[in-house]
Amino acid sequence: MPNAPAYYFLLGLAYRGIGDASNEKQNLTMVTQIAAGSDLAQAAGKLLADM
Amino acid sequence: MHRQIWLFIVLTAVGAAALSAQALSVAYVQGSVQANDGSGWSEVSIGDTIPGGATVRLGDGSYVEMTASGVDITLSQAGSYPVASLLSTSRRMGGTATSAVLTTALAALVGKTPATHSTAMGVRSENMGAALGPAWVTSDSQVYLDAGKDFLKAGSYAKAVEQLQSALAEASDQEIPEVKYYLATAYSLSGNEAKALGEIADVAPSEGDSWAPDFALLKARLLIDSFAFKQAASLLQSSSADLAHNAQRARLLLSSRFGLPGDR
Repeated sequence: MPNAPAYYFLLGLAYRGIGDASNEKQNLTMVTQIAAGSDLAQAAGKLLADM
Repeated sequence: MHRQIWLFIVLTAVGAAALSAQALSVAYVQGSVQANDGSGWSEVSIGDTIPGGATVRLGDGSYVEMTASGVDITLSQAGSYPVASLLSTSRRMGGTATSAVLTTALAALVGKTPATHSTAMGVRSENMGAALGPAWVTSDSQVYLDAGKDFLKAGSYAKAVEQLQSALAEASDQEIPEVKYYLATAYSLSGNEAKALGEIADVAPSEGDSWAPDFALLKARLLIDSFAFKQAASLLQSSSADLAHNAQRARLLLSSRFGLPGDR
């Protein structure tokens, strides 16, 4: 799997839009893990909290 | 207990009613865009108001930007969209906060650094060189492309667009896809997503193009912003191999703590 925070963030958003909660959570969680502390990770964390 | 349940039901109903009552104002239209509020389909124009209970329909190659209080909604894919559903989904996607983070990340991909005096001077120098004529072993398009990239890095998106339009005018068939990618990036960072999507609609990077992974991220962002979620997911999944080979570039995002883009 690529180490690309933007990739996981966008894929998580795409799944959120589709309504696929499982894949959304998996990809946004990946952002918070591999990019901890970044703006993307914070945004991903907010989206996860809103699930 | 029963009182709490009734209170929840009433509040939910009031919230749903408020959502469905919210109307959209049409900010931009390209191509065939129609709305139906129960009295039949009619073409919409800039400045029109679309009721919250209506449905919006896009034809092939069409594009529409609509706004409500605190919400911007863009559509780029053919199909029918109930306004209430658009508003609901838009809020679930995180609204402008998510969009701002993505814009910053996109700027980091093209190497945007906070504008400094020396950066601006360097860009002016590049621009002047481009204006004086092509370098001796470099194509005209490449000179303009390099100047456009420098303006992108400096956060001067309007000037980047000027240079990249010149690059596109001079580009060979082989150079066109890369120039279009950077031009779409400049449009996107300056807030013109319709033009950004238009530039890259027919762009398909070749295997090994260094800009291909960033192109996938840009296009996916534009698709997500215009409610084309399935297309975005499909594009990202098919691009994962390219992205894996570009992890170094993606790591730039980890340090993306710049402010919002400057000259829009």
